[in-house]
Amino acid sequence: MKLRRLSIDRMPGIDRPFELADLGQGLNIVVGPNGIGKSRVCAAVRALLWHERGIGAAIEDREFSARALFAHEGDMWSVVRNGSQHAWQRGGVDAMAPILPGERLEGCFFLGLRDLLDDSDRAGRDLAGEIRRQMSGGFDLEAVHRFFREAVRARAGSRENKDLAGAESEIRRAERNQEEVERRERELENLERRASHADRAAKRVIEVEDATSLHTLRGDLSQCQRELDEFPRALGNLDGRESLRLEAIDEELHRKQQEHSAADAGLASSRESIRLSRLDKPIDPGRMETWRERADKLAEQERQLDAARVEQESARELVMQRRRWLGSRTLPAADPELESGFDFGFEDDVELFGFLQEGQQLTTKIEVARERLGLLAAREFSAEDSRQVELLKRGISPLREWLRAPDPDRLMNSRVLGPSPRIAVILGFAVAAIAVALQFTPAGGPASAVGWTAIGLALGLGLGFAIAGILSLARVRVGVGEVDAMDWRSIAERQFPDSLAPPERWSHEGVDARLRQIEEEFSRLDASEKRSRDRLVERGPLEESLSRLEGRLGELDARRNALAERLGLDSLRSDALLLDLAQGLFALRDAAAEARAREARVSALEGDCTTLLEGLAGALVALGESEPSDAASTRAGLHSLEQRDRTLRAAIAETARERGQRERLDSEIERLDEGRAVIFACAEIENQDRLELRRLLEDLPRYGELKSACAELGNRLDRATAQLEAAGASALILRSVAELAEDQAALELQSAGRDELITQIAEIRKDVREAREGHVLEEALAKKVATLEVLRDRREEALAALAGQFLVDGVRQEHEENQMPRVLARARDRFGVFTHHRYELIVSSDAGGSFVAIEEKSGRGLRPEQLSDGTRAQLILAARLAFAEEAEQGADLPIFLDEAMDHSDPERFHAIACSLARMVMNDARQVFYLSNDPTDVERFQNAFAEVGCERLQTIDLGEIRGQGARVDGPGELRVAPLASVPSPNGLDPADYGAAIGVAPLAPREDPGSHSLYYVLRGDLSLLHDLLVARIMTVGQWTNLARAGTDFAKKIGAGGAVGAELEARIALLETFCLAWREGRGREIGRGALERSGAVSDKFLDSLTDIMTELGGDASRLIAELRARKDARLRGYRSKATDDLERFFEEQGYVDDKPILDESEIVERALATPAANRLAPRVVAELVHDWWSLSGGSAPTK
Amino acid sequence: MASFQASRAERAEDGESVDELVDELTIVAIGDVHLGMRPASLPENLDHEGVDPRTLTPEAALSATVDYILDVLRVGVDGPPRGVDAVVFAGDVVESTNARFEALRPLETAVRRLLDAGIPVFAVVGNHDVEALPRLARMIEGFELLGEGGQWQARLIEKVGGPAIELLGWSFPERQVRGSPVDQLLRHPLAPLRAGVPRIGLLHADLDASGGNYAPISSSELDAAGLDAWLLGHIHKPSLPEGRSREGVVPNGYLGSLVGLDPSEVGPRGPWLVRVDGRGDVTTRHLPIAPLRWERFELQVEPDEGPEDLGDRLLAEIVRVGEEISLCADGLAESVDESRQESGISAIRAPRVLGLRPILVGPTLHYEELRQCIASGRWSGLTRSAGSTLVFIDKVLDGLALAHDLETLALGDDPAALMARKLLLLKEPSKARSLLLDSARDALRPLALEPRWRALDQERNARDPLADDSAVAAILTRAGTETLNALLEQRDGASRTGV
Repeated sequence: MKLRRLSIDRMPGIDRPFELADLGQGLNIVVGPNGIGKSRVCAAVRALLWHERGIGAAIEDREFSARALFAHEGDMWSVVRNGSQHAWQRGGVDAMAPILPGERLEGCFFLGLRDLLDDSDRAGRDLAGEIRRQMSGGFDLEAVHRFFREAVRARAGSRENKDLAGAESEIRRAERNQEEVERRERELENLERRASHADRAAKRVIEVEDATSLHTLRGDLSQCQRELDEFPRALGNLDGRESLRLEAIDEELHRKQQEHSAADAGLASSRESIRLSRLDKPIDPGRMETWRERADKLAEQERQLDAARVEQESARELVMQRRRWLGSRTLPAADPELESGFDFGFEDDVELFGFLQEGQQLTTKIEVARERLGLLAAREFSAEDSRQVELLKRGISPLREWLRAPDPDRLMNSRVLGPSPRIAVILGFAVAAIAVALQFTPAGGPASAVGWTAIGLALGLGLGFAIAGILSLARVRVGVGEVDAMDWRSIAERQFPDSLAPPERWSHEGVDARLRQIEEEFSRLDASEKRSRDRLVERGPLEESLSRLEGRLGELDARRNALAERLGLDSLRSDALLLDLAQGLFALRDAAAEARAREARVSALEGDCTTLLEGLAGALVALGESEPSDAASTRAGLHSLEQRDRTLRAAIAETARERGQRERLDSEIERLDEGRAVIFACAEIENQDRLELRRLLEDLPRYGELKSACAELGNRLDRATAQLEAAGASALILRSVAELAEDQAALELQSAGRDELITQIAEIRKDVREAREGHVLEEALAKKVATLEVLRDRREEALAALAGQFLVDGVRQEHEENQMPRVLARARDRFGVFTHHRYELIVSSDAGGSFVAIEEKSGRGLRPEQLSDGTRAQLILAARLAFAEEAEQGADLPIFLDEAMDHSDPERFHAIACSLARMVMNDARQVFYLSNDPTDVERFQNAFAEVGCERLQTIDLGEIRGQGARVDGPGELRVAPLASVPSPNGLDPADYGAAIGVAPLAPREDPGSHSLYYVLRGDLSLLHDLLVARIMTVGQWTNLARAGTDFAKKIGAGGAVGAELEARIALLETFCLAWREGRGREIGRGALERSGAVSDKFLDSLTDIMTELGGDASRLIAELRARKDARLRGYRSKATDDLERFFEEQGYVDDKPILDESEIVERALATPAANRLAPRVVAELVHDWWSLSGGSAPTK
Repeated sequence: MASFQASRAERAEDGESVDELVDELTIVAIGDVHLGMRPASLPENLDHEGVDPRTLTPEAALSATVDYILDVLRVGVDGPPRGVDAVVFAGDVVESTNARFEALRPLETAVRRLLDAGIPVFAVVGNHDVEALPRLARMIEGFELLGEGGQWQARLIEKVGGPAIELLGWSFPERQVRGSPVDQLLRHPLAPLRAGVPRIGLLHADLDASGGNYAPISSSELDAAGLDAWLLGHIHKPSLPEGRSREGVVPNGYLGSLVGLDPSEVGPRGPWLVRVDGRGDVTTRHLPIAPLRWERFELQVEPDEGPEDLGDRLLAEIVRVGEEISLCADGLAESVDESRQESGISAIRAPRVLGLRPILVGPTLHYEELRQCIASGRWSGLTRSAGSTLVFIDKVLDGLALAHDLETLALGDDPAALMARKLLLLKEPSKARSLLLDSARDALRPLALEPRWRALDQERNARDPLADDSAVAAILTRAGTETLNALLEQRDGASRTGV
């Protein structure tokens, strides 16, 4: 594949299109000065050959546009690339790209100066790696080996060993604690013995103290007793309240005597009351009750008697009234006979009253009949009424005719309305015919009564229809054929009687209304006529009955006269009078009987009253009461008697009570007298010697005090003695005070430290108990076992990884031994030619997979970095060329050497050039050599001439691009003026820092990257000078100062200013280091990704949390372990362990404590730099930096 | 040497009816308790799941054992309570590093409870409780140490009106003993305390270890000692055969730890019920009543099963395993003593907590993903409930293979083929395999001996990770599989890009 033409239209660094045309098939030497675009040519060819080979953002931004023409497989292949658009054509037709080596092999065809100059131990290793891969049949055994090598890293297990050390440390600590507890437990017995001894001594001290106090008590008691004995003995009987008791007795005695006098008076009064009651003894309540009942009965009898007397008078008065009433009618006014017993016979009474009744009934009937007749005769139907009826009849007919006449307006329409008369006729006859047929049908037989009735009814109905139809038919004929409607109405109007009021208007409504009025009037008169006829019929029987009754009334009159005669009456009055008389007689008879009954009752009651009154009067008089005359006086007497009885009873009770009271008072007075006497007796003085008693009582308090003191002392003495005896120390009682003092001193010495011993024993016991009940060591052991388990896993992993390496090495060795690849042979051949066979090329697995050049002369193997630059370049070139041949897979790509041989000496250059010439000649390989040295052209020409190859062509790229080397105009040469640095005049450090736009202080960053502002805040003038010279950072100044530049000297690097600046910079470095301590490196998302412990699922969540925690790895781990954040749910603790391990290994976690400001100041002051600064300046600088770094330390 | 066979004959000659001897003397034998320790590798969130980690400690296991002895084993259906005639500890009752205080209280409590219930308690001293156990024995009257000071001692245990046994014990006199105590017994045999009584040995020793610091003994020595059974302590994996002793075979073996102290102590744990009948036949029964149990199981991965599906299946599988173990516990409960069923007491309980280490095995197309999941501990700590048992995944182990035919891969001559050949080589024993393993061992040894792993060599159960071929082969297989996977990925990646 030969490049024939290359055109570059656009690409970064190429501002003007150019083209390399007519390129040779052999060596093309492209010469031109540096920057002319030789490397761009290589980049353009790369981008044209491999689609994925971009040139950065230029592809996306379409800043790359180039095309090329290749000769390949007998065709011309053109390729155009415009940004990411890439198109091939074969023979002018769009085609797929030709088969090319993989992009990863492109480096084999493009060899730069840097590749050949690489003197690191990696030189040639990538190429060697490729060769080895090739040798391995395409397998990257080195990658597999590398994978295992990483797994067998030396740090594996270090964390576990660290944990193990921690666990063992815990175990040792716990064991030491337990040993200590055990040791102390062993001491326990001794301590308890000592404590017991001290305890006994302490108790003995108390006993000695008690014994000593016993002596004191005895002396006090004797003194007290002596004093007490000087007082009268009787004081012992007194309690000091005797005066008060005497006063109380006197007062009580006085009150009792007063009560006694009052009782005497009461007794006299009650006796007088007895006397005044005039009763010898109380009356028996039963008798009194009987008397009261009898008095009540008497009063009731008297009330009844009074009532009977009133009724008696009323009855007499009624008799007199009845008598007077009768006397005023028929009888003499005062007929003693009648008064005593007027009476009729029974039969007379019946007859009279029967007569009276009959007569009354007749009279009543007659009156009823007459009244009925009167009513029947009251309403007669007159002749006028009859005429009016006739007149109304005559009026009704025309009006009806008028209304029946058809309406002229609707005559034509109304003809079709209603049933057709013809149909009615036909229907009528049809029905009649059916009826007749049924009558004579044989099937009918002897028709039943019902059958006949139905037939008859049907016959009648049929005939009726027929007749009605005929009539209608006739009327219709007349209406239609002879008289019109108007004639009918006119006739009717004319026929209406003149004596009747005509309708208000001869319209249908008016006629209809008038017709109704007349018909109503007619109906009324018609009904009246009918009623008149009915009355006439009824009057006949009534008049006949009246006549009959009046006849009977005549008979009755005859009988009355007979009766009057029989009764001897002059004449009988009217029936009413007779009836009244009869009733009056009956009333008189009843009244007389009633009067007699009342009189008898009065007599009986009067007898009863007299009896009762006499009995009661006797009793009252016998008890000194006056004789009563009636119930009221009897009750008054009884009441008086009751009063006297109550008085007597009360007086008797009072007398008894007063007597008892007086006896009680006598007793109490006597007791009080005795009490008073006792007081004096107790005081052992004469009765009532109150003066002496007072004197005694004045001495009593002191006496009491002494007595109590003696008792107390005695008690204490007894108790102390008893205690000592109980403690078995009774012997101490006998010891003197001095002896006891000696004992006490000795014992106190023995008991010293007792409390401490007890405390110590308690602590030991507590520790032993805690040690027995605890699980501290158990937990530490478990932790150790768990760590060992992990360590075992790590060892297994490491062994497996090493086994993997072992296997890979074995396979590789086996394969390399058996499968020598052509490429290595090719490379070896080329290298031999390049070096005139002074070296042999091998690939050594011992040398990390790199090439090794074996020096023929010495047999010494040299790695690339040990070779001279030229030999190394030859080696790499030989290897590249060999591999390119192997890798191109027939594509036969051109080889680009970009200043690849610049560092070869002429001899080596010549050898390489000859090799290239042979390659061009023998292999028809197209080679591009790009150089800035025009003399290279001659060197190649010589070499090619020597080999006999003529395929060499020189391309002067500077000439091709000469036009583009000129600037377009002055605009391209203009630059923006350098920005001025603000002057610090008048500004404080903070304002000046803001004015110059200083970056925030970041102690995590390299101190050299910090602005000089932070070390020169106190010398803004110097800062300004440095900034004006564009010395912005600490690092810039440090480099200048160390290089001993004139500028640095001018600033004063060698003097005091420089020394102080250097000290400040050193101090800043110290500050940054101290500040970072314990904070670890700040983690970012990339670190999380690299850790391999965070899956995609949790990456975002952890990144968020990490940001919230300020990138602090320790806090992130703590958060993960806390498992409180819902976003971390499901994140496994194993992953947390892995993450923590990663953080530790990568330095994101620092277990050291974070220093605070004062600790940093201490550290800063301890540095040599601080010796060149005043302590105050050091403190100020640290304070400034501490504050500017965010102040207080975060909690870990 | 008083064998039971002889004693039975002698007793028969004395006119004693065999029927009268048909009764049992019951001992509860407890292996290494290691009070003062607590199981490692428990999940952090156990208490969130309603399980107090303190209920899973040796202390809790010992307390549960005493409960079991006092509550369950004392129950009798007919006649008087059967009870336990003695409780014996086979040493290492307490952890040496925590023997001063913390381990004493639970031991004291347990021993006092047993003594208060009238059950004598015997123990021999192990290498871990050289100091603590004698001290406790001095503190508690009735708690008897056998063979104190490294001198064999016999003790007769009798059942009132029933059989008796003679218990022979030897205790560690110091933390390390290089000589064989059984050899000492053989050279200086103890005369029987009573003729014809079966003799049971109680010993803390390192059986069939070629040398060592922990009383190394050999099986042949045990057989030669002429005892009727040996109850051993020291190794935490139970190995005492269960069931009635066979004619002519002296049962011996380790009682094992009372509760699994770490995930390596897989399988059931608990005390042993040792019954000796009147004829001298010894019947042993393991009572797996420990509250915590560790297990491993293999989980066959489907070739196309990715991490998500496998995660779900893992959870289902641990529940299944948990339920299987619960069912097994139920079965044991029925077999241990039918009377327990009648009395309503569940003799054997499923463990409260079951820690599992699933081993993913089988070819997979998702080798790298699954390996990453395993390495990152993605499934570790997951918990589920299986009946009353809380099951958790302690760690998932890698036994994965690639879903490629190694035979086919090995046909080529590229590195992948060479690696496939090596993996095939590791599968079967051969001289080439041995050479490869030796070579690998030499390569790995410096790493294994690096000081950073020194702590692992000082463990109680320390072992050389390169000691046996199978371990080295496992390491190489794992690494080789990983390598081969990486190479195949490179190849596939290259073919995809067309390079």
